[in-house]
Amino acid sequence: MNGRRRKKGRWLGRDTRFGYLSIVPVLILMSFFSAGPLVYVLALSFQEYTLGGYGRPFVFMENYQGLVESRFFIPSLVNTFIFTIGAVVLVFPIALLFTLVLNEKFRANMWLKLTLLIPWAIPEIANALGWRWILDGNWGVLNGIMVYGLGIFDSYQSWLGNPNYAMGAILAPHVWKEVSLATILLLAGISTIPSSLYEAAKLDGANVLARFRRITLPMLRPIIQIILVYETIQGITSFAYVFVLTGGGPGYTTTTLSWLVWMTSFSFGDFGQGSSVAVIMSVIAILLTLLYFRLLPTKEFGAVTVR
Amino acid sequence: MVLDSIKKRSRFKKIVIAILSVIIVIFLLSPVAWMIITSFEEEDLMFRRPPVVLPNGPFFLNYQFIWGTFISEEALEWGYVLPGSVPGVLAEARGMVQSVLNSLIVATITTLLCLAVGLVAAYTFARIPILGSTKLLFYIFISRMLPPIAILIPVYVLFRTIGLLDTLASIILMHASFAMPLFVWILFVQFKSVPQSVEDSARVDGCSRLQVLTKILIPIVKPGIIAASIFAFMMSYNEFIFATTLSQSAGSRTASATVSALAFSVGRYSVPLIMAGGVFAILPPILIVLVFRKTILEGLVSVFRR
Repeated sequence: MNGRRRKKGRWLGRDTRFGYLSIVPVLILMSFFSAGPLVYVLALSFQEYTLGGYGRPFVFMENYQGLVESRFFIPSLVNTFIFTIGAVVLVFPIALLFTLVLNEKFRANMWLKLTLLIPWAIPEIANALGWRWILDGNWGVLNGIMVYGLGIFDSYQSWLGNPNYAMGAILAPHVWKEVSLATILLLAGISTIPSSLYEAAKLDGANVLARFRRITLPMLRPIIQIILVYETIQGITSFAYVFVLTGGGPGYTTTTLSWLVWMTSFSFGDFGQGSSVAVIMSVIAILLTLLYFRLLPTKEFGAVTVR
Repeated sequence: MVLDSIKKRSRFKKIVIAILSVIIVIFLLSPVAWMIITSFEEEDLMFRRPPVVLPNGPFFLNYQFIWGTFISEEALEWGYVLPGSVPGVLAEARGMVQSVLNSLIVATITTLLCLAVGLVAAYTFARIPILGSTKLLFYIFISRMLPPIAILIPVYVLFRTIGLLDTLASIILMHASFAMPLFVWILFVQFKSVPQSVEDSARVDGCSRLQVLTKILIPIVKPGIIAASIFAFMMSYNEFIFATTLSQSAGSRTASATVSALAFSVGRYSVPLIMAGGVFAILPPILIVLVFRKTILEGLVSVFRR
């Protein structure tokens, strides 16, 4: 009875008014500074808009056509793909290993968890700057270690200038920073697994590997999925490391989509075409997110979002 | 016998864990450590093969310079160029203190804005059945997936149009819009996890929505609120693309933006000074993490506890 009466008055009731009023500021903020600009970029991508050009004539798909035909586009797609996959493939196993170690109880455990927070706390751009000096081709410490410490190389290598190493060189700082948050999240997840599960499995004679495969991994699945979504997005949108370390070079070996947006817009002064890259990039990011949400089983998804 | 083998195995396990822990610490700290060491190095010693680690002890000149206590005559003696005469590394480095303060202001206001606006919104999404609430939540969430660089041009045009270019307010608004989705999402999950009955019983006792929220729900989800706030703060401190583009004078730069300017400044190539600038910029977030370590870890665990 009571419930039905409440339901009837819902759309005009005080609750509804409170509800709408409470979300309006957030919606305004998001519309003005996220969705709005995206619509504007979409509009720009159909216009010829260059630095020093006269007016902004509507050219429909010309920017996109020019983009696809340009020699940067395909390499930048491939590079973004390599960077993102590389980041996810490196971050996840490292984070999982760290989690398993840090989940053990030992004396220095709290301190280790503390150091774990440090890469996460360091701003990307400062991180990139630090790594630029580490990777320096003439005086960098990595070269010092490689040549004088380990003797792997005979001479100093140009990590950032060599097409074979450049992608690895921008992945290193990214992975270093991202492992931190992934481990923190996995640790948070693993600490919520009831220990009774492991004890029961032990009694049943399950060995370490079986316990890991049958208990730890399935119980961590929701968080693993969150990490995969998050890391994918981080990989696609990553900009700082290309910006500071390689500038897209050598050649196009580290030209990612985000760098292409920057380069086309601000180096070539072609805002129209830059916008078309931005649109393609946003579409990829949003489609991937939607795909992930599709792939998440509703039960697990519910477990994470709604519990 | 059995006990003996268990003991042996646990000893073996301990050793493996100890070795792995050392590897983890080296992995996590060595890049920062090298940055800090470099910042205390003398400039002439930078260009050595193999690299040397502070052979003459730490050298504080770079920090003194950034802090502003460095006297200009000494600067000339040391071969530094007076700031102002050469727009470059030195001038950028001098702006670091102001930038760190700006960053702290921006990140704090961004977080407060998230709290003021996002908290109630998250509650509504979790509890009040309004038309289209799932779609709206999704709309907010998907905005987090937009690459910042993709909307850089319109954002610049927008702020130029409304005359907020080169102010901290423009950076705060941008950061808030980027931190908001995650903030709302975390708290949405938190509010959902509180049993409806807790709220209902308070409502029966005559509490209004707002009273329920402030008196009952907020204390329950406090760890989650703290975690979400720290995420927002860190996101704002970390961000540099908008901060760089929206600020033009050194006075409105955030720490990340100044580091970025340092990285690309022309002029004398002084690695230790640049590194000292970087260390200066990473100091506040690291201090925050050290001080709030327990809260952060507990908050994160609470977010993911089922």
